[in-house]
Amino acid sequence: MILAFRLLVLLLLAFVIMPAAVAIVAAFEPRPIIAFPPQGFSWRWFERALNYEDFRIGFAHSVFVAAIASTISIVIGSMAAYAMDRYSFRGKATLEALLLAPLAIPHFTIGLGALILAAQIGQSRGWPVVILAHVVLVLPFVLRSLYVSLKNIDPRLEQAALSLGAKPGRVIWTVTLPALAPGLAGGWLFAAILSFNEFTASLFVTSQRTQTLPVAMYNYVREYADPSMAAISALYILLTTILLVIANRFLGLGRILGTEDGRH
Amino acid sequence: MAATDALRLEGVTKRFGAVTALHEAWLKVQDGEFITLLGPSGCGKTTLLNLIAGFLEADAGEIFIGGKLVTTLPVWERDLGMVFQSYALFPHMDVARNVGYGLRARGVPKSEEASRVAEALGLVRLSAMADRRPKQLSGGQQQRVALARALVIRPRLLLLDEPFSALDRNLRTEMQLELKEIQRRLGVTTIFVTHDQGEAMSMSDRVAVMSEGRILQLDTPEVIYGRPAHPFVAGFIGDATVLPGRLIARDGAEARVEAAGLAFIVPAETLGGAAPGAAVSVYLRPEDLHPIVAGEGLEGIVVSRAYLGDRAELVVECGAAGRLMLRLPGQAAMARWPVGAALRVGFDGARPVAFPA
Repeated sequence: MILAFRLLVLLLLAFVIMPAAVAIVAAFEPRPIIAFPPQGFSWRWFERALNYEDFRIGFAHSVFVAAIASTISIVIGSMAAYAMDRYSFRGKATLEALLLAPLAIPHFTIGLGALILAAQIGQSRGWPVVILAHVVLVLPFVLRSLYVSLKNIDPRLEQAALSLGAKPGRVIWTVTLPALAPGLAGGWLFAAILSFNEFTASLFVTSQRTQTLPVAMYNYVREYADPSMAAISALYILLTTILLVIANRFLGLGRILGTEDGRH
Repeated sequence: MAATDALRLEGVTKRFGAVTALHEAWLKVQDGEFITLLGPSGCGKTTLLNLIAGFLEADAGEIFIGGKLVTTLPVWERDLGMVFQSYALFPHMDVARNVGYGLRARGVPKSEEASRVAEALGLVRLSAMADRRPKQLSGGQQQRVALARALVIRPRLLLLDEPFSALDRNLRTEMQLELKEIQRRLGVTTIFVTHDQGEAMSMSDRVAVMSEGRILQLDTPEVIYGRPAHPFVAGFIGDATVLPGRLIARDGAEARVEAAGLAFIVPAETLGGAAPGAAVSVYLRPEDLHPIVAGEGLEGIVVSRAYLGDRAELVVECGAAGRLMLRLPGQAAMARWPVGAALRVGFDGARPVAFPA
């Protein structure tokens, strides 16, 4: 019986991993076609992916957007999480629901909305609109991560600091923020990964001048059908995995995703 | 002019919605006194401590610390040292930085901070641990760091919120003695909150017994135990056998009562307005009862016993009087009175108290 379950889990895992695995393996095809299994072994498509101008620029853009968007999200998210955790106010539940809502709103809706909004104020397809869309997309995750981290801070720590004569501002800087540091770092990294991988909303809000890596990849695949797509996918997975491992070090992913709420 | 009280509460009341957590607490604490707020959970002792600390705001009444009105003063201006059950050490600072936190908040110069931190750590015998992180310390050590952190600022009041309840029993006793000694040496006025009556009795100059948001009695441990002023206090502190009885006569400060066919002299003050003939409850301590060979007493059968090493507790069923609890030297009790043995209970020298039933 247990054996059967194990087999089932293994099959399920294989099923989930299969598409990625197939893409990675296909990247080593020497011929300029995407084929599985590959007829040989070659690094040439990795070389092409790394040297291709649009990918290089797209990568730089993605890093730029991810860094700015997750930083903004962390700043907004930490303030909102603090307010939601420490104060009760009218409409608190509504605010909570609202901030967590984009989880249920399709990315293309957010992209489209941001685009319409930007056009209204004559800011069509510049960096601000790309960053805005990404902030809206990652904020719920950041918020949830920080909210849970805040909940896990012993309120007695802040009380002890206050009783020792520290004013509230000093307490936030010397006690709350340091205690929150792992949550901030983990939340930031997770936001960066989400932003880095974001495609749907980016497709709406980026232009030729601001296209991010996933959009560059999409544009590439519309014109070419060689395995450099597979190669860059493999690189993408590698990078994301490294970042996720780091994020997991700072604090469990379960906490970021809000599925678990244990201490430490 | 009377000396200034270290702490004075004047009719302090706190409500949470429809629930009154604290009813008009009045309290005067002298300089250097060790006062314990004792009671079961939900009795209002922690609410009272949080009001003194300033974590809660009183709905009515005034609080004075060192003669200064602090009722609306924020926590950080009250000049307190506080120790929590959870230690509440800052996890990202080493021991020395933790202890120096209050000094830095006060803008004490670095050199002075270093010497005062060293002195405080010496006081709690942790000088060797100054560079450690809280996580690297045992529970007892962490609590000593928390104590040093609270004392280093030379607070007007030291507030302790069940500081030892997370420690195991032996360590707890050790910490109690250590705290008491440090407190006596420094002469710091201390408000201690606990639900552990042993802790309260052994450490305090005076104990405030609380129940349902009221301070029922505030007095020395001897008086609290020997002359409880309220049935709750009599039942909560120590063990008591309660016998239903009747008031026979009042005679100034004393009164005669009858219970289980025996006569007792009790203090009159706890009887309120009860008139002769009124029903009363007579509270007897286990040490008021002892086995006798002959004379006035009650015949009974041992129905259970618990051996506790130095002593044993016997429960004796005495007919209409019900079950009485005796506390006897352990070895002798085990040898002489097994369960089922007959035992005659005497009350010579008993100092019971009685309350209107």
